[in-house]
Amino acid sequence: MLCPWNSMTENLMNSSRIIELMAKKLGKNASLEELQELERLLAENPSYSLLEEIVGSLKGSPEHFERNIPEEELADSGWGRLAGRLKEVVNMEDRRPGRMPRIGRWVAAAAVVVVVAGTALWYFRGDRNGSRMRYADKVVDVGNGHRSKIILSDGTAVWLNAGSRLYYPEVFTGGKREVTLDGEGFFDVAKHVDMPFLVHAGKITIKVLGTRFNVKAYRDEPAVSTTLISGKVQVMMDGEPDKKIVLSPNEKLTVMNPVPDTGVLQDRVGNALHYQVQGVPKAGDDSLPETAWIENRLAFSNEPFEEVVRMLERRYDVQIEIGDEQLREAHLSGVFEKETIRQVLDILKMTTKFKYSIEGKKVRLMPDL
Amino acid sequence: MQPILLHRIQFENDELAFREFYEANVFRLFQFAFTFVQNRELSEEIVNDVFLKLWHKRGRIDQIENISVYLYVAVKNTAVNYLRQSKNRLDTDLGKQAVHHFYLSPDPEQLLVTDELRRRIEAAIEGLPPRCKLIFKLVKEDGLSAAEVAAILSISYKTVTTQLTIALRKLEEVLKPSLQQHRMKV
Repeated sequence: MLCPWNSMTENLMNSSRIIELMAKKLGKNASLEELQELERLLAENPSYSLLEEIVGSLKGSPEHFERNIPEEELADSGWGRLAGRLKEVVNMEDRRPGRMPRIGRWVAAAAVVVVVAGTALWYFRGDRNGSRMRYADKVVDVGNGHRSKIILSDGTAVWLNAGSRLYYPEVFTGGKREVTLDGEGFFDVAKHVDMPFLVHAGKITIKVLGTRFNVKAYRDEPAVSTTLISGKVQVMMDGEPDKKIVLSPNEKLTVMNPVPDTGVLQDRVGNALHYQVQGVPKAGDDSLPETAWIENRLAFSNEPFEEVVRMLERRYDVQIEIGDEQLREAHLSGVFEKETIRQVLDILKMTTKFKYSIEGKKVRLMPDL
Repeated sequence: MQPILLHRIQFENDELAFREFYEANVFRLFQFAFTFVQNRELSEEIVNDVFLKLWHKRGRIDQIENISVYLYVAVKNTAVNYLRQSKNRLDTDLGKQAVHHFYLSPDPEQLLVTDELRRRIEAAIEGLPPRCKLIFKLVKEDGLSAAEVAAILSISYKTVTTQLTIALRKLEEVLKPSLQQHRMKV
């Protein structure tokens, strides 16, 4: 080891190559080969290891900043001023007159109903052929992976989400308008004061009193829910004519169904329906799951993993197998629009650990160890 | 960490996540703004304007290809706009800007060097041409890649690499005597 600094031409060449490679490494643009080459050259030219070490250890020193501004103080004082402005603007938006939520663009002045009909044990109880269904002579069936919009004879528009079915009459007659939903629907109800609009969904019937609301009652889900966006709805429960619930805006009613194994009639022999009313965020929030789907957004907010899986199955027309029991405990939030199923899963993976594999229409979720 | 924060900001309107994101980025952006306007209050205002805009468009954060580049470019544009409007125009040419306030020094926790060597290293970085110093700082301290710096400063990737080479050569030069000593000790 007797060669002094730069004494050999070879070292000179090496030195400029080392600098070049170090510059690339610094700019995070060195290939794996180049990084290996740099390592080899540094090993051959130990004098440059110190340079590499020093460059590696260089650090900004906030306390030396020209005006002596500590980073923390800046972050604190800056955030203090910014936080006030965030709220200010949000409030201003809320108060802006005439502001319509996004869905308001197409709901115009009419009363609007979002219905997600689900679990629908009524379906198996024979209601389909029973009195309730006598009025319905038409059915629209929307498959998984699709959405659909139909206009009823009274001018009411209905958006139907994936995997939903709507039973309705060709022409509404008599003193009321009645439809039955299995799945999820958003109703823009035409106003006819003397002809109330009734939506039968699962175990409940929603009477429209001039309003917007969402009903979710998929047959494969354990509950029926109604979310009122604005106005007023009256919800009646099957078999319990006394129990009428009037929802206020931004309230969500969830009615639990009896466990399917216990048989269809179980609830009629004493089991009271369990229900709860809870608040939801204000309408107009694009991420409100109850209305996001209409604009083809998939939204969920702190939803149980299994529920999210069912939403994904319907939207992407896939079958999802949960191969990790712990995943069922997870709760997820998210809003998706144009994402593919892969992109959605990749994003969900960021907050909830799992791996997945996709084969055709089969998706498998596995623990990520 | 940042993707998760951004996800929370976009999909959960999470103000706490936004604050965390703000605190993680405010200082380097403040320093960057200072490069242009050389004024503390103004730099803070510029950075806050940029963050406020980001909060407004949080619903579309996932459409931003590179959040760092987005923030630096927004700070640069806001600063340049300000300078254009202000009467007492400052020179916006980075090549002529004094970048005295960036200060890089070997981290004593990572590397023990003599006080003498430390002073020489600091002086070498201090003596870099302003634009070279800024690029070196953005890469070294702010953790940006050469490609990101190129996008932020609207210069070619090659220029960024060349400037980094210049900075490294300068350090190499300053270190030469020490390097020899270092070698002899080994």
